[in-house]
Amino acid sequence: MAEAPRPVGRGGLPPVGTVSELEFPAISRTTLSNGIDVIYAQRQAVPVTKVSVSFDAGNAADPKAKLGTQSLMLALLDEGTKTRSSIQIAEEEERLGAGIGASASMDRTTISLSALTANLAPSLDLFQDVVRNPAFAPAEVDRLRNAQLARIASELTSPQAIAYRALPGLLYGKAHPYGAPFTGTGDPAVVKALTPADLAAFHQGWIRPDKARIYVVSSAPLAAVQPLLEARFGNWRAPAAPGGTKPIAAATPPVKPRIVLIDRPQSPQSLILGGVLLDRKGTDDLTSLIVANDVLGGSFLSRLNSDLRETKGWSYGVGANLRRFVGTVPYMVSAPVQTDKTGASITALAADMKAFLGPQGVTPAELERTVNGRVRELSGNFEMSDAVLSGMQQIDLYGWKDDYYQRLAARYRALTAPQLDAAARAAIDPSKILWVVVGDAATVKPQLVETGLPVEVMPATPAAE
Amino acid sequence: MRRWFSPTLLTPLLLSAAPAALMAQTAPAAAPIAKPAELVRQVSIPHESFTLPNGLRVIVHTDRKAPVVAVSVWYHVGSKNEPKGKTGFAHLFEHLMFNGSENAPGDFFEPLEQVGATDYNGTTYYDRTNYFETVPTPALERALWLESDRMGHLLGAVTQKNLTNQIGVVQNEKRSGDNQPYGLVDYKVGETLYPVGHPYHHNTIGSMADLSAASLEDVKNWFRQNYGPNNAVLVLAGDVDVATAKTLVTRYFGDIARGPALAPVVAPVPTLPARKDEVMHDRVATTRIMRNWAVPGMLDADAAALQVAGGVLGGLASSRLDNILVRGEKLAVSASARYDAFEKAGQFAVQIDVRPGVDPVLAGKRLDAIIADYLRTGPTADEVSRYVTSTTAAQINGFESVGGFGGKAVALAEGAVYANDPDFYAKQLRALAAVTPAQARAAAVKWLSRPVYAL
Repeated sequence: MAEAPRPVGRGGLPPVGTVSELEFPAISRTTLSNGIDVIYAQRQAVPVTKVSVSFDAGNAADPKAKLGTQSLMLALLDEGTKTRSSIQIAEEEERLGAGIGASASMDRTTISLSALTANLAPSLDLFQDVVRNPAFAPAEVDRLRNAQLARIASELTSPQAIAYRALPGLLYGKAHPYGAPFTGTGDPAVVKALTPADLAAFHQGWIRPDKARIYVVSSAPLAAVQPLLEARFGNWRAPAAPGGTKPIAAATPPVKPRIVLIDRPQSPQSLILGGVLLDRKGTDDLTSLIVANDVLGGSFLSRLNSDLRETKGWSYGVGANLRRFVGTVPYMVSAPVQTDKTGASITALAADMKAFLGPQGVTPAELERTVNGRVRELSGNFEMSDAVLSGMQQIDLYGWKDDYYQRLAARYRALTAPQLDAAARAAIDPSKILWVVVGDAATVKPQLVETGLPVEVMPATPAAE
Repeated sequence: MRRWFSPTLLTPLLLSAAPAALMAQTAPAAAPIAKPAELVRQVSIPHESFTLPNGLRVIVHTDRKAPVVAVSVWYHVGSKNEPKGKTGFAHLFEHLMFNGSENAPGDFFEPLEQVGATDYNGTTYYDRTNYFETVPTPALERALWLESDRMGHLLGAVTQKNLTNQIGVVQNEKRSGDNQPYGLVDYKVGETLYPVGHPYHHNTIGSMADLSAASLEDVKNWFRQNYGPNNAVLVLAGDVDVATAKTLVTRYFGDIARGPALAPVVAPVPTLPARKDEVMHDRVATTRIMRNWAVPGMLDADAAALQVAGGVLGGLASSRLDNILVRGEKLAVSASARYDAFEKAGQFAVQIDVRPGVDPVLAGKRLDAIIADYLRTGPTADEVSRYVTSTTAAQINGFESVGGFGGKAVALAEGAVYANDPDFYAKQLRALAAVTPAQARAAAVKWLSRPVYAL
């Protein structure tokens, strides 16, 4: 790859002075009287407090026999508690200028509050009610069930959602906790039959104090916030029955590299989503691999994007990334491309990857740009309190020390091109990729012959999952 | 596009007290809730401005919370400036601005990545094209050099190869939008509400044919006409003061020649001659019913009232449409209403996704009846208050950021470009907080009693 040309005229590019080191706010750790850990940092730029109650659950906790349970349960949390109706909850949030949300990543389920610090006490009153006392009223369960079914039906018309529903089971096997559709909405046949008791059982098994940690970023000091949390969460007792378990260390079946083609007639673009499991866990030291991937597929200037977007113009943007699950980490290549270049795109992506992992590894210019960028962007990355909140959660998720982010610049600076190449070569094998393609099969299938890969055609609608 | 409104100093809106008997288990007494008027007073972006002799307006806001500066350049040109046969040009040109300038050839993202920029991109819409990046303070000078190079020294670097490539990229951007469920709706709405020849008739992405036909001379003329410093606003928000800004901006932008003076685009608010009903078929999972009107834009006296009217009808989680159609009668799985304001006109858009199994004709009739009822009764004081409070809270949150898609630089730039007033965001928020239920109803009646586009 050619080096970036050095600019001439107008005095040339002004130098960049020394960029100051990241100042990550101090993290305070304390405990409520029932043992729930509270992890806190202060940010005073805006008069806002963010609270995330994080449960060791995630999509991985969704029961295999009843996929979609967690998603429906989370949707019901702010639709009625034992003392507040759905409308009352909505109105109260609005009056307080507060926002409550619930979501699940693969490994964690998070219920969050964004509050104006001036209204923190009443906002926390509402928040703890939503977290601890959902009503799961039958009429509301029916209503939100219909909404979830509509959402699943809608996912089955969206190319991205179709691909993200299909790929996990193909990579991890459907029995694995990570092997369910990434969207979390589940199997429509199952969702149709879910009852309030199912939702209550999930809440009891996973949304409980012995699986919880509370993360806070606030403009107010910890001394002001802690008593408010203690009063609302400190007396929360875990149910007698043990909590749920998720065997994330379970084995994954061997995967046959191939193309899985899902027909979506009349699509002007095909979505290519290639995936492969890495022999890596999220708790491993992945710094070299992640930085190497910036060059291959993570950055706008990556090999993959520079080729398919900025040279060939076949796409609005392609990329490749690993998803840092706590357990086995997947690596995924995403490329929405014009339909008539589907086969050629897969060929090009595979070739670009092989070249990077073979004779054309990280160049000096790429190393310099990538390391400089990673080091210098640290302060900008943590400008917002949401980023600090997320950073604290990552520290706990992967077992890092509290000064992880402050030490990161030095680790980046120590990286060499051979280290990056070695990390990428050891982890990624493009010949093992399973390529899901969502597109107009009539036009696309003939193009796939040129890739040399076996092609399997799969329906978009979920068979018995 | 997000819009920022500022606090009223006039009538403090009284909030209803929080329900007293909330939680049996909490000991502390309920604390008083901050009123909208107090919240609105907290929303403030102090700044200083200066203008270079070549017409470039510069606005500086100092915020030392992080060692970064948000650099934001807004050109007062968008798709509404595109003549017939050249739809999509403003956006295509935005892409070309990232392919290098005469003294900085090569991809613009290269130096940005080198300096550790965050929150960077460019966007094009009907009325403006903007370019933004947040950079570490020691990289500010470099960022200004780069922005001035592409403002004043671009054309020598615009090649046929780049143009051909970016036409392909933009056409794929268009395909990826079209490829989503309901992806073809926006075209229809714009083309129906605004007649042929109206600046808002066509979509910013443009047509495949016009994009394919774009010539090198076309794009160069677009630059010459629209990218002069006199047609631009530069905002610096963050770890910078106005003295430093004056020195650096003068040094790098001072020598750029003024461009031609541009006449404002005439874009009146059209009214349909009669209600238009239309059905589109597509591979979608739920039937979507929409009601759309062309309405006045952000500078109009009715803008704040229209925004409140839209928010109460279908913006709040506790909105009319949500409460009646989604929670109550269960005819829809989702519902929304909003006022989208552009510079010269706007759009009031209502949409519901019909619950599968429900007759869409029935749902449509019910929707029309609810809207008619809303025009008769208007919002309540509590609804208005809740809308103002939640909107202001969102604003407070958004202003933690200096740049990006919705931070402080955006608010300042928007006001400067459209209203020639960087404090416009504050006036908008004051106006919002001053809207009474009667005023919201009156605006809704005035503009939504007109013939609707029912899709």
